[in-house]
Amino acid sequence: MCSYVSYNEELVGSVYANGEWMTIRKGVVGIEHPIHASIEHAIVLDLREGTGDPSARVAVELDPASARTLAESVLAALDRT
Amino acid sequence: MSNDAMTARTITIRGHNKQEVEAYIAQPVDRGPSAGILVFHHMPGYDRETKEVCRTFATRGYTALMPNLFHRYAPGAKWPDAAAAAREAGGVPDEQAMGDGYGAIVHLRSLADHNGKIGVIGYCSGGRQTYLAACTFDVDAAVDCYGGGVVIDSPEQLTPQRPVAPLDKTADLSCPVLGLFGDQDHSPTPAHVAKLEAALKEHGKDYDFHMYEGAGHGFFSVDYPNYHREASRQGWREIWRFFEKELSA
Repeated sequence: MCSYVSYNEELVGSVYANGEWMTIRKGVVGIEHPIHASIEHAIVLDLREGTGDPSARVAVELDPASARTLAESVLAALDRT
Repeated sequence: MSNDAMTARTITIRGHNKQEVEAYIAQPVDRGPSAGILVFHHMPGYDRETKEVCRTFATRGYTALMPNLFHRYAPGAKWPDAAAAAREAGGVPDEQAMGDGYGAIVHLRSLADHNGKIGVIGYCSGGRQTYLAACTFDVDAAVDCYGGGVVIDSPEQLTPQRPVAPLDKTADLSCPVLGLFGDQDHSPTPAHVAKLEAALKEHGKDYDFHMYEGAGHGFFSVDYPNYHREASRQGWREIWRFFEKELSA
């Protein structure tokens, strides 16, 4: 599936990777062939610093079922606040 | 002893709107005039594996040139970051991909030992771009490897970046087409392939389609999970046969 589907969202938050915290301002969600995960299609999520540096991001590739489970957990957690 | 020597390197070509675009070129050594092959990389990006494909063409006596369609979204970045930047931008517009492809064709034709023939091959999204290029430019052979979106299911799939279904340009197809597909693929499905075949037949075009049983999308891709050894082996055999027939001077 070469879906070309992507959603760009403004975000407020931070990510932690490789021993460093990074403030993020942008998220990009798509469904595509993943580069690393050994599955045919993945929800690909880029959490970006939003400064224009293409490498200033944390990339996530989730199989669609995992992505749905995670999304439902996020919504469930939000509903308890 | 056969000569499979080749050289490969990164160069800069003039692509869409005369912009500088990174490209990977692999050329045979001491083989005399060679046909040029424009390679459209797959959606994951301008990666190690697709460069290996270019080098494989060169070992067989072809000059392969692959523009990095994601280059301008993140010049100098690592290829996964460039692919992500292109996704953030909504994907590569067809007009831009064709401009970069045309720049590669111009470069191939300018090489001193070019034999006058141009082939095009692409994988995944590159298969779609290959079909579009073959309907846009005067080339000698095209290989569509599981190009998704050549046939669309509804007009809602058309976007400003991709305003036309390549299927609808079939009347303009300039060359024979080899199509290599898997019967387990979700895009293109066997039904999409059948629709494309019907259009080619209707327009009296020269085509040769192969549908490999048990193979899914990306069956040539050695670095990805759908690599299918038998489909890949048979597909490569068809590619060599087809290019030998269509690209000899």
